[in-house]
Amino acid sequence: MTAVLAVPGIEDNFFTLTLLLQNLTNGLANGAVYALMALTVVMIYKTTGHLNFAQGEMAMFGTFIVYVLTIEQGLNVWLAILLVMVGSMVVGAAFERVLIQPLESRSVLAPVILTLGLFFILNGGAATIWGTQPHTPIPAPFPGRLDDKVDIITNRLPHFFITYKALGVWATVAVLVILLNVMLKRTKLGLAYRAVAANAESSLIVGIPVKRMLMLGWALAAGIGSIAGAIIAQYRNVLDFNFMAAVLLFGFAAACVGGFDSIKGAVVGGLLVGLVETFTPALFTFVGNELSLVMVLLVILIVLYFRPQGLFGSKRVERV
Amino acid sequence: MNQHSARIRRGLAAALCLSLIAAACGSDDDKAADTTAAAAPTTAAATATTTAETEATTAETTAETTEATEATTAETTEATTESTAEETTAPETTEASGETFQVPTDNCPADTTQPLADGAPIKIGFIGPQTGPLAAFGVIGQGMKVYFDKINKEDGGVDGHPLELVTKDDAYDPAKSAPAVQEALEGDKIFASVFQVGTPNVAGTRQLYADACVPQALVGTGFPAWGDPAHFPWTSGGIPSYTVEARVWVEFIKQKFPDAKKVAILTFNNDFGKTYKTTLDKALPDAGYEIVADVAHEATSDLSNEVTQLLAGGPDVIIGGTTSTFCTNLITLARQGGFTGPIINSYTCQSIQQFMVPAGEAAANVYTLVVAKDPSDPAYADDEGVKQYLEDVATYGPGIDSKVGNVFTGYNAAFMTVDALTRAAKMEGGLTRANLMNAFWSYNIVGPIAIGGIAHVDGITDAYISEFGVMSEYDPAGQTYKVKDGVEIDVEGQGGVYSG
Amino acid sequence: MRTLPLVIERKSTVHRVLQLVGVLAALGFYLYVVGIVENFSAIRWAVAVTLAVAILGLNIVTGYSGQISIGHSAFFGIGAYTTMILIADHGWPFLLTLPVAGALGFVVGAVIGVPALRIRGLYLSLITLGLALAFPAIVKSDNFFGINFASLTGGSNGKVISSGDVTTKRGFHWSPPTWAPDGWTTNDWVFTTIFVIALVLFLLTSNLVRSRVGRGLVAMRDNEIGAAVSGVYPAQYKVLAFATSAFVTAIGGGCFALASTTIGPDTFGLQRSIEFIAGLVIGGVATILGPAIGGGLGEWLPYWAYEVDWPLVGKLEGPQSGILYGLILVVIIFFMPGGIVYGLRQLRSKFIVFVPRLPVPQDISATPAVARTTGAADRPSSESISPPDDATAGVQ
Repeated sequence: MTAVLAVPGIEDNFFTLTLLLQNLTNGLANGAVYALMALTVVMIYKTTGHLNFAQGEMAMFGTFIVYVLTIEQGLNVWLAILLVMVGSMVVGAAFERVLIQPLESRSVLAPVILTLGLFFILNGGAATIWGTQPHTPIPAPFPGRLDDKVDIITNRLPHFFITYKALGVWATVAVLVILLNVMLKRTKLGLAYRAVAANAESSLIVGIPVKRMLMLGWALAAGIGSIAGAIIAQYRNVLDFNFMAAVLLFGFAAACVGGFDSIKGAVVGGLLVGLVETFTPALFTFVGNELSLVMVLLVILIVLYFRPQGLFGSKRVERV
Repeated sequence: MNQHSARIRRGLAAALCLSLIAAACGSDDDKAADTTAAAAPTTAAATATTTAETEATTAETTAETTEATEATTAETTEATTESTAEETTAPETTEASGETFQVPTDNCPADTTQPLADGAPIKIGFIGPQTGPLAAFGVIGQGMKVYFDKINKEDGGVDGHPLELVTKDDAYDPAKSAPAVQEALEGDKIFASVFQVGTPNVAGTRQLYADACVPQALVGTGFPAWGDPAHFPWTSGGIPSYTVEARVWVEFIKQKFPDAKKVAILTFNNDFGKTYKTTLDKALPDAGYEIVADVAHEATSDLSNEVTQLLAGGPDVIIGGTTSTFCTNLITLARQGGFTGPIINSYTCQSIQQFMVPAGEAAANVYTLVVAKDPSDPAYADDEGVKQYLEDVATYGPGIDSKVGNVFTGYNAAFMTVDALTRAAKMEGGLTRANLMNAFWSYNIVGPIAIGGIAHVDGITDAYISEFGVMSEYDPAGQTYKVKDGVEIDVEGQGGVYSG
Repeated sequence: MRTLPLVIERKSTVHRVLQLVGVLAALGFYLYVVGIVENFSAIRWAVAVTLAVAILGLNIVTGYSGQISIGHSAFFGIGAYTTMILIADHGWPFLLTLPVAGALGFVVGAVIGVPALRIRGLYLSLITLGLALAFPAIVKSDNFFGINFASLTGGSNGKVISSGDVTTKRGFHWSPPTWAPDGWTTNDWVFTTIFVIALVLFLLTSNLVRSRVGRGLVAMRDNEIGAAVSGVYPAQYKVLAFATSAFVTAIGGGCFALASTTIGPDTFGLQRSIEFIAGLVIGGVATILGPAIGGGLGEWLPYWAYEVDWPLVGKLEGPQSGILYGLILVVIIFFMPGGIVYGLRQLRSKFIVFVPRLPVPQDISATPAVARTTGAADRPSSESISPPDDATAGVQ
């Protein structure tokens, strides 16, 4: 199962089957993580039209609370996640109502700066309460011990294996997407949400509580974020006050390439970003892993050049 | 090294020491066992403060070290005597120079050679990241404060001067270090800065210290350029050089895994990891190894891609030139990927509680250059130095987690600082900044939590203070390092001085 | 006693007197930093001024042209590294490096401006974010599509312009010249240089936004299609906006290199870009004074958050200062969404209102009809474009 290719610039072991499969798995698993964050970005953007820079920190804060409930208080991890999710949804909606709404009408940039301020508050707050050192053990929503994996090909290094954690992340993304679609397409609430996402002014005229839908966007994002936080902490095996910052950036990138207002785009974008991150250093000799982020950004630039609204984003119609 | 030459060295050392004691006896009443109150509890080797004490104690430690050695790869060297009050007349041994280092003060402001006013506090500056992604290193200051508070409470400070810690934040950004250092120098008027963190931060500010003639001592980066007393006498290093460590790894692989041919390297893509990479990229091929994967990772990575690439090369040994939770993840992911061979870990992640225990059973067949006794290691539960450290943290730093590696790093740095201050106070001219820097360049002691060896510099032939460690295997079951079965590495004196 | 608010005509004597007061205030600020502030703080003021210049550049593209850029740390870094490399490795005099830094910024800015023609809004902002993330990675890289940037920039170890080592004392000096007053230190001279350069750039930018080009940028911001129909071609203007913006920011970067003497790749990462955009919005988008305030806050706010000795609790521990920093951002933006300058203008409008000078009525019976239509000289002089009070920085 070894193919040796001697093309200049291409890594010669790239087409080895186990390596190819393992890279694919890594890329899709990382991609699922980014897709989770991209979903939160999209849920807020669809109705409100702005980004929430504090999303990662909200998720991080929630994950620390899960840590306290699970590791220090002994609660079951999924129960803890559920509690934190509900709490986050309430807090997210409250942030939107109290802090963001008064600003939205006054300026476009102001809400963004406000979320930046929130970022610093939550980041500093977590570091103050729980310290700056990484925390162990990390709450485990999925079986995450050393041998909690499925070994598929083991006759050469690296083994081709899939961890239960990775399967769990994929399952979570799938379940969330299904639930979101059910909510958006089958419930009245979802209908109202989609109406506001499509045209807020018209929705207001027909009597849809637009402000509530804005809050719903934040609530959904915060809820997804809290689940994402716990899963990501386990998947990446780090729980400290900075662990979400990098993931959020990848989430923005994924939402961008997929289209900021498309759920499908968030998932596809996330997977794409994950795959580019893995495959560009694996494929090319002149790209090291430290440049994989730059490669992701180049790919985004190229995609946007051909589709300026992202892969699945909606085109804005401008009237003069 | 072989036993024969070890015995010869012991004999020579003993002879040298006896003759020096004879020479020194007339002027000084200090005896070998006499240690100043400021010196913290140590292991069997005593701390050295003035001339007369040095000889007997270092002879002891040298002897102990050679006995304990099974298969050291480097020679042990004599400790040179440190003398500021008098010149030694003993014959020169092969490595030692009899001279003592004097920092040049011609271009310095006048107060460099003026002693600190009676009772005035000694302000020690700690400039490092207190905010930002690397804020975890900021707790080094907490460890330092614990020790300083202890000395203030128990001994009234050093030479009647209370110790005061001045912390400045630079968020690991060299552009922020420069104003922070300027403020510490001109505003707070620190007496010395200790354990500044970050290679670019130290490099970017050492001229400021040189111009102000303030010690930038015991810097907390292992970049080899700090051992340059000829050009930058006001800057000295405080932790083992990453270059030396990388070379030690290569030697260790040669010794311990003679069948290994292919090595895969993972390094952190910053100043710290790059030093490892540059050294390994040369040292490994020079020793005949094939580097099958040379991967650098960013702080944003979770290492899954990088480890896959490492394993794709089919290595016999994996070297991890990285730090913090990345070490843990390297070990876990490599084992999950099917790698069963040895993994070599940077000494910066030797902390058992923080980085090794979370890796669980994966951390078998993992080797680290152990340089300090980990307070969470059960093997040292009865060690005097460790017990004292734990007691001090409980007394003077309630609420601080004593198991955190950075805390005991700070504690150790403070210990070394107090030792230097104490020796400086006894030098001719009293406690001046110039004498303090001279003291920083003439260590000859064992720290309370150092694993062994002698912390020795002389500023002339030996500019690297920390050149001892034990390459030990980690035992996941016992959650301890098997230091007794380890390979002692003592390259004391071999670092020489920085040559470009 | 007159009733408030006072009505003052622009270009009247009272107006001129008030403007003179403003100039004197700037002079007073300068003298304050050079004379009264301690030497080690003067250098922080110098850095604050360079940040103000950088944000001034950002203002051109974000405030006046409506393209939100989160990537200006890259231009700042390009300018800083250019100056650093030319001084440290090639011994160039400082002032000569600034045009080079600016030119390089201009070129890279133009390159970034090209995607701006197709990509808009938040998507464009994300591309600029990508630039901010890519810059440190490229600076550290020793193999970026074959180019070894690290050898040029010092890589992860950063770069320093030093005044030499102990033995030689050779190297770069920026000491006060002989005609400077006694007691002036290097820091004072550095601040003076940077202050003068900043003043020049502020004046130039202020003229730019009042010019035809500036009005074109604002038109493009407020209604791109309408502007295009009126003769403001987006292709030229967008690229120009990015290019000039990058030019100004890069010169700010060059000054930054002089002020801080040492830089590293992480000095110019995402954190810095966020500092710029936050500083701009807090200062006041599309104003000339806004960047100055934003730059000052960008340097001093983190410092104060960390160093201030509070009455009951003493100094804040490291991470706690982050909370304070965030709180101040939130409070300022919540109560003054347009930024501090708008808040101040609203305050000012309670006391003083500026009205344009009205044209002198002419006796039209004597002049022929043709001449009347060409009475351009009678029209009120153009004023500075001041966006409406709700400070939209038009993102469509």
